[in-house]
Amino acid sequence: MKTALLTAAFLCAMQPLAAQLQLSALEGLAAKAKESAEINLDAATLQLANGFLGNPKGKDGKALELLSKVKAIQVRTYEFRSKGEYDAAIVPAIRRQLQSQGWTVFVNMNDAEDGETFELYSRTENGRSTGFAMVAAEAKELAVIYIDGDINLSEIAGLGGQFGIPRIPFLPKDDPKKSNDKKGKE
Amino acid sequence: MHDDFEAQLRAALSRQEPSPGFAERVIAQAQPRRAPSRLWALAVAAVLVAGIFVYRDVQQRRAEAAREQTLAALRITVEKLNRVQAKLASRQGAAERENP
Repeated sequence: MKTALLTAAFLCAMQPLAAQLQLSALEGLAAKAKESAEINLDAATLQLANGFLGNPKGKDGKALELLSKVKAIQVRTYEFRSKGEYDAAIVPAIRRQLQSQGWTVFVNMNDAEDGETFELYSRTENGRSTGFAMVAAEAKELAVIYIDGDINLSEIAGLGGQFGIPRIPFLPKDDPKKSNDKKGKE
Repeated sequence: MHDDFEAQLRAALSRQEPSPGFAERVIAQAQPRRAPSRLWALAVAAVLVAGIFVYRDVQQRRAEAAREQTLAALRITVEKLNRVQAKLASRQGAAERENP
């Protein structure tokens, strides 16, 4: 009994770590980059921010409710002065990590000639979207975005035009959550 | 000479009566001074109010920093999605041109 309780406590303690993407492979890239952004937001920080984003009873209410479901955000973007400043092995390493955590790719564009890779991932549990991830690698740019929470791509796109975020005319046809919603309605 | 010195010493060390009211003044000085309790209450209240203001200010700054970071993260996400969208559109356009 005691062992079971300890195991449960250990698993609970490990849960926040498990929900994060390990991005140690990207360490040191900011120093090489011309421009970079590295953002880590946990649930507590997001909750704190949510209270200052707008009025929950006003026009921002829906967006705030949506953001309240987000548990963590990790953003890494790097823009380099010249080609080959980041290790190309980073992309497959992150891809393996996402796939091992149950993420499925729904947009996958690779251009070997230009050295470009654009991959969009989603994760679903019991038909509900539980996250969104993106890996965008270009010759001089690298971006990894990881959003953990009950939010899908359509909802992220829906945040465009609010809080000063640019509007996005983007709803990919093969977004699993969208297709799940459709199935649910049928 | 020696007698003269002794006389001076005796005169210097001779008992002298204190000025009138000396004992009262000493007793009054020796009394422990009691700070008015109202002053203490005001001081505590001032410290509490200052503490609340400082706490609120720190919280406000933290929240504003969190807000800015959240918005930056969402802005970057949407910008990158736009980029992917543009790439998808250009690929689709190229494919349609190749296979009309």
